[in-house]
Amino acid sequence: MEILSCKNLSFRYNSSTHDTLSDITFSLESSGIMLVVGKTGSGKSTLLRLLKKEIAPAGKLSGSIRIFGKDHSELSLTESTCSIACVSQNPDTQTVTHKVSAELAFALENLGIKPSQILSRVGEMSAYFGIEDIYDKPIDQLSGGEKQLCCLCAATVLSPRILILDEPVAQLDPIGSGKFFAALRRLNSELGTTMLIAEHDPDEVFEFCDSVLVLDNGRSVYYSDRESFVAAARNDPLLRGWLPAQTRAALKLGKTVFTVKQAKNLLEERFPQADIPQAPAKPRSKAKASLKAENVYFRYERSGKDVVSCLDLDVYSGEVFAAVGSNGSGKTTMLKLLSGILRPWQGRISINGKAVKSHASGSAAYMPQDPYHLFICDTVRHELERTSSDKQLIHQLCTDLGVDHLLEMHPYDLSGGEVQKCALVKLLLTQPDILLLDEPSKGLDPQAKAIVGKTLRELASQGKAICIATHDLEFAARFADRCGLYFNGCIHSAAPCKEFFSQNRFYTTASSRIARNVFADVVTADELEKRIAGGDSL
Amino acid sequence: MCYLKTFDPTVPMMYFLCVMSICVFTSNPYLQACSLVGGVVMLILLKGRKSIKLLLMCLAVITVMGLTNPLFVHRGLTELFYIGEAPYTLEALLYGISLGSSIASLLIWFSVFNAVVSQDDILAVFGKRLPKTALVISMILGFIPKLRKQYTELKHAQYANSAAGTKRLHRTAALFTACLSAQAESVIDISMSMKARGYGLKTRTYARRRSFRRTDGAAIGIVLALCMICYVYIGSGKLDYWYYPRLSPGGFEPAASGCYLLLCIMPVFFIIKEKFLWRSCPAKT
Repeated sequence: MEILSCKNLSFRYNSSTHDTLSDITFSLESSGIMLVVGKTGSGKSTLLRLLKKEIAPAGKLSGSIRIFGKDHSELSLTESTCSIACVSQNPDTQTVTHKVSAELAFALENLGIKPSQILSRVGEMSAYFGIEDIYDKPIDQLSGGEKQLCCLCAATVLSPRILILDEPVAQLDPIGSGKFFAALRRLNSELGTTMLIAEHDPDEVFEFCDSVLVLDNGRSVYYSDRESFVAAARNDPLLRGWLPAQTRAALKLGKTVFTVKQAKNLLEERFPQADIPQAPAKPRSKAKASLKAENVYFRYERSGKDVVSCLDLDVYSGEVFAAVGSNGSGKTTMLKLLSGILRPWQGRISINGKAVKSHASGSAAYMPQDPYHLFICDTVRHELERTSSDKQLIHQLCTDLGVDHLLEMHPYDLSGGEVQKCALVKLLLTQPDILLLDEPSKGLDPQAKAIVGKTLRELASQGKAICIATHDLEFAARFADRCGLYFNGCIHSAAPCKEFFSQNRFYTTASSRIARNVFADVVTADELEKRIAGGDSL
Repeated sequence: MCYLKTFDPTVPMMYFLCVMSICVFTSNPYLQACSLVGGVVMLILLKGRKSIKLLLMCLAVITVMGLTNPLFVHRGLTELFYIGEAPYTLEALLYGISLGSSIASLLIWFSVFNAVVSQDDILAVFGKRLPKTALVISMILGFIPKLRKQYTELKHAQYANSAAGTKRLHRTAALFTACLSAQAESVIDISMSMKARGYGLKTRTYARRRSFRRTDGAAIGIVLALCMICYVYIGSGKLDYWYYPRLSPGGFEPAASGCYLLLCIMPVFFIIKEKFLWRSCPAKT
């Protein structure tokens, strides 16, 4: 049964001169899962918001939206509230109250439902999602993954038939997002909830969605069921970019698969005796480390646990070092220690042989997880000029990084990729030898990630030492020279990137998991495709 | 403490209101002694060792206020000794101690209040009658940690990368403005999230965990009765007490003092009862 459909949908914001969405047509069966992919700014969020009346943006709408067989203007507000739920990207701005229990009851209280009923429904819901242990906690003490799960729970407590998700895992680490998607799959298979998921990094959703809609600049580039999408992607590099590594690899071999397991088996079947080239052991540079941490300990409270303990780290100039690990493991704390914002209670951190005494030492620049925090002035230019009076340098760096055209904008109006680049300019103005970047790929679409990654490589080739903390393994595999697993307060097994990922069994990229028995040194999707193509021609 | 939590939150809130209002309005030393004794006993029972710090502080307050008051106030007829020309009088000393102990007992009772009544209890009391007010309180409670976190992050980000030399006050002001404007951005998201979940559609209810029971009513009744007796005595002027020029001879009313003492140590009964209940409870092992 068709539950939701859009026909020739176009939309223009009141203040805008061009259509944000034009001529979008799709339909969604009951219990279906539709994936909406597209770059940042392609109109995904606008489309999703239009479907839910209460949060629809103001503007001129043409074409029709039909929900449950009715035109969406005929749907009453109560009906729409109860039957369509919504989870968006940032868990921090979605939560309204101070406690999980209050948050879960919020929607039911709004509808004026009797207290005893509210409690029984909230109880049922939190048991279903297994969040009883956080039920009584204040929201600010939860991890990102828990917060987003709480938002999902709060949205679905009205037992909606349609669930709209706008990049729900953009702020989460792989473990948090895995749990979140597991909850979604359960909702779909056990309750038959229809879902619309917008993603710019659709690897995980691809495994369980039914149909795919690709948006580009507000136009629907492609819309079909998942299998036809993969078939079409065979000849279209633009569509192929949205496929997960396993599907791309199998596509090279002429098959359509969706899971790592299938791709792995397929590859091993096809290349039974592929020679296993040993990764050439890179000669360890004898150069002196630019940034050196020795036996560093840190904790936030006197009686608390050491967040960083026994940390040893060397970062050499000209390399990109990636510390990978899950959220909340202390990676950010480590970067703050290295930059001198926080002081260790024991141990020594030195830059070019000089001990870091405070943040004023100036040769290490730190980029926070949210690069918007670097900007407190009204325009980017104002901010940059506040940082440095050398206009020549500002001009040169802006040209180098390609942010000339953004100088007059308000920082909050920049997209994720743009603000990363502007932030890098600001950091480079202090002429640091060392860059410390916290989650530089967070919330970026693949194109923006590639741009940021390339910029980092260029900076490294200019002799900067770059240390990033990330949970984005694919990003680390593509752009880092060395990686180390940050766990339990320190970095274990720092090794060249390829060695690191091909040795890890769980904490590694999908490509590496697929190819480890065939091409031992392959860690990224691009490499895997190349090797398959090369292997086929042999 | 857990046993006290078995009451409807209205009960402890009404109780503390009664105890503290009398404590604030009276200058009768006998009533002050009652409230101090009750507060100290409650504090020790509820917080154990952790109460030592506050108790020492209160002792210091009483001592300092007692000793210093006669240095500035020279009224009173019983002169103990002279400092220069000025007399140091017994009445002023006692008045200082009385003032100090009423501040001390307020501090102690607030600490007890915090140990017994949580944010959620306050919300529950408001939520029943004023669900919207309860929501606003809850939103503020949620907003404060967010703001604080954002401020720290902003400070750290600016700390590491800003050019040296900007004045501290200037920097703090800039940070604070930036913090608020960032929050203003997120308000759009929050309001969307609220609307999406039906805020403003119908009259709000409040999901409270327990309903008002007969025991709650009885407890409130007793509290109010004891409190009223004290108020009647205070109103009748029988509890008036003055220090100057001489300590007033009267002011001791066994009934009023007894009622207030009973009021102040009433929860102790429940705390002890809980200890006994727990001792005989099969779950203990």
